[in-house]
Amino acid sequence: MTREYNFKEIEEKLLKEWEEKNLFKTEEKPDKDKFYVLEMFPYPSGRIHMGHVRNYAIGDVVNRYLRMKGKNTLHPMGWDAFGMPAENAAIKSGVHPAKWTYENIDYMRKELKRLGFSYDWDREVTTCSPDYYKWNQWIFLKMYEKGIAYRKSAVVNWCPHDMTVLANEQVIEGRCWRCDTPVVQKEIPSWFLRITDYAEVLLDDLEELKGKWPEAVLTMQKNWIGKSIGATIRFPVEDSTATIEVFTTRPDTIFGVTFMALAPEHPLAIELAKGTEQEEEVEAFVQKYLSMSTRDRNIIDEKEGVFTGRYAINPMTGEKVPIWIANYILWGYGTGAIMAVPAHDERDHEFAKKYSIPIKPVIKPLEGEWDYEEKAFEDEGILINSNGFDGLPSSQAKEKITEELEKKGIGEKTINFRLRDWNISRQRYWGTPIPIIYCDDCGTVPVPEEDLPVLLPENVEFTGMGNPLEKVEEFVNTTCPKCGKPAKRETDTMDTFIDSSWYFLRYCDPHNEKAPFDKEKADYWMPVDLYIGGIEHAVLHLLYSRFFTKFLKEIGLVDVKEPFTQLLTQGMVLKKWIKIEKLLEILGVDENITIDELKKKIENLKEKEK
Amino acid sequence: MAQTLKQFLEENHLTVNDNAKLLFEKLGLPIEVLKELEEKYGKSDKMSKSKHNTVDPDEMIEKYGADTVRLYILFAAPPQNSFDWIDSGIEGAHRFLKRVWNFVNDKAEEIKDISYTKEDFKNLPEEDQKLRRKVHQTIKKVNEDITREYQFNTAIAAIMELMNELTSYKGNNKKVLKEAIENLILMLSPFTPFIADELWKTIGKDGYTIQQTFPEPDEEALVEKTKEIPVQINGKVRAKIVVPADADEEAVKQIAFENENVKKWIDGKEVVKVIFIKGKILNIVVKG
Repeated sequence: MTREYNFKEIEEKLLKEWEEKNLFKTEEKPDKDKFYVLEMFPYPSGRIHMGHVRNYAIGDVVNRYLRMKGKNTLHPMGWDAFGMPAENAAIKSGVHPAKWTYENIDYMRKELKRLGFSYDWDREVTTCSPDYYKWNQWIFLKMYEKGIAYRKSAVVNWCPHDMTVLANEQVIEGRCWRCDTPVVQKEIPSWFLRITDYAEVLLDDLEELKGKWPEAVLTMQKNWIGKSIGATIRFPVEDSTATIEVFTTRPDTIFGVTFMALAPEHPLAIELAKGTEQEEEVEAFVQKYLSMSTRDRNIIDEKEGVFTGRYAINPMTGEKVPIWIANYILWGYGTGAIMAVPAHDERDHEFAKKYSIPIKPVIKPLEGEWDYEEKAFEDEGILINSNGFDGLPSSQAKEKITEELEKKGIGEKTINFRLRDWNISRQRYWGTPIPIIYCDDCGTVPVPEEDLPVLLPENVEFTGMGNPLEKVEEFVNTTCPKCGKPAKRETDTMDTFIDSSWYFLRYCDPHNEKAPFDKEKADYWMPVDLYIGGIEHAVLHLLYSRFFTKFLKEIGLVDVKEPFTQLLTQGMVLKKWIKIEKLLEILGVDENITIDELKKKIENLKEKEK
Repeated sequence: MAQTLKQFLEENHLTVNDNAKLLFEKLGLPIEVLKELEEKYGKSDKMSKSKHNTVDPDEMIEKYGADTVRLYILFAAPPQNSFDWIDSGIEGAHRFLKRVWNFVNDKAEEIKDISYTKEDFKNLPEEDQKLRRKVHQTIKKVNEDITREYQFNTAIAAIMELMNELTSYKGNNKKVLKEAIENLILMLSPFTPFIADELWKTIGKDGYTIQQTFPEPDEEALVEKTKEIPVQINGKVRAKIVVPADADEEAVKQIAFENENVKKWIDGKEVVKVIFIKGKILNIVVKG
């Protein structure tokens, strides 16, 4: 008689055996070929979903296969355990974020084990554990020492009712997700990491990943870093000592400038309009945009603007051009001001059409005609209407005109990046405390290494108002490590993306108490040979991890310059579903059908199927 | 007045934008009808709680086991592509594993104490050669598919094909059978490790499959020594003959003319023309 396939019994029995035999244990074996296969670790949200199962099943096949092929593999798992959901649960139901998180981890670990994934659980890393976040703090201090971590003021979404900073996801249609109060933009001091120092190398090293990372991810990173070569040009304001500085990748179009446009946040926006007839209108316009969250502003596609009543002088032609404030100019990119060339930029064209601003063509296509009133000609071409530069191709004209600007002292060749420095300050509890102390006498003082970790206090009240850490006296009040006088602790915690920026290194040596990881062990295992995860992490996580690896290499902690050799972005697990609306459409009825009739129709369908 | 759907939805805090599943559940309607409609008219979406189109891993494991869940997910599409979760798909994966389970258990007793060396596989009859060839072709393909771009779906499809070949194996060479079953289990191991480990023990092996070496193809077994080709007479296939893979026209003709079926169609007739395509077909044109 054949034994029945009793999968439950078989699987549970084997799980026990595998665990007893420690079958998936991993050790460094320098004489053996290594392979490090890693799946992006999950946030312990409560339960695993099918997307996780797929992600980890892929990694598990690779690990098991390569083990059987004789490779010494590293295949670890852990938890990206800090973050807002735990804190939101605390605000909603009073359960402590730590309790909520660790209970979720316990449950999800069981689920992963049940699936038979071959992880070396002795290497489990949990980012909310002080053993781990101590090293976040340590790395932060190294960055502070090197001038990579610094403090400056930053614009944040602020809820004036809850007196708290809101993440972009917490701003729903311009209002606070909790109390529905309109959100305002506010400047507060924040900690930044100078990732822009690495812009060039982060871009150049993408070359090495070609063919091993999906093309789409490389393109997204490239665009995110956004290198552009162009010129900085200063336009003097008429009857003023002020100048408007712009960055353009198209200095060859300077003769076609017919207006200037400033971002609503530009300091000159309100100043220029003062005393003109336009003053009130400008103020109202600026106010409107300042109170919008960045996300809401990004959604608007209707171009809108207001004339300041003032003019700038085109330094190449001496022509007067009106200065406008426009909603499509972003503060924080370039200089927050542009020279607008409607004949050769579609956005400027749209704006000029709307406000009847002249369109002056200065580039003609290499072949054929162009209707500049109809549409901007954005390609490069041959210069026209450009004084001494007529007839030059765009590429040459860019150089010649930039040289001319440099000669006149009104501009220079500039390389610009879209990438901004990374604001890591979060006014939240459930994250790594930033190890900084403020002393009235000594100023900003880093916590000495031997005092790490700066522990998160446990006795905290979660009201949803403000940063809970600010109200914990025994946390905030401390003594200055330099002079011993009373001082205050920084209460910001770190962006949780820091946690995931180097966890793959910690897996190489997860129990190290003396250092984030031992260099020899990291050098044996790194780089991660195959990294598997969703494409939604194409930019932030994958870029930050590359940045951290480069910094850690620079301070001699690890040899590799890129953390992930090959990247596999798995597809999604979808499920078809139909709305009630669609069901009615299929049945050819509407909402006024009686329940009895509906039941009958469905029963009929059932009969038909048979 | 009889209650309308509109009233029912309002009472139950539903709208027409909600998943029809909720309505089916509330009204106790036959869910299999909805499944049909979903497959036919449904919209593919990422699983999400708000759309009520999630499938819970725990439930699936409870119902089919972890191996089945793994196998289905890996078989459904190449890792880079998205796919629609389909109930019949996971059921198919489960049926396959049951077949493997039953087959190996059936054969376990007769192959348990069998051992073999490469020497044993020389000069095998065609039926045995054919199975060995399939086994090693599969090993080759599985290795290639995993290494190249992690195409697990096609690797699994190849293993399934091998399983078909195994169940239709008519030979009685226990060594060949044992080699085939061993390799089948080891190839399944990365995908469905539980059943692989259990069957490994069932056929009398020690340890766990992850501790074994993954199969490598025997290049010799891949070489086709004999080949079955059709014989056409006046445009119709009248027989199939087994010939050495490298046999030339003369040799093949000789074998063909001795075949009973061929004889029946050409005896007493004039052979006007013979066209031979090596390894593929023998064409005979007769008159009279």
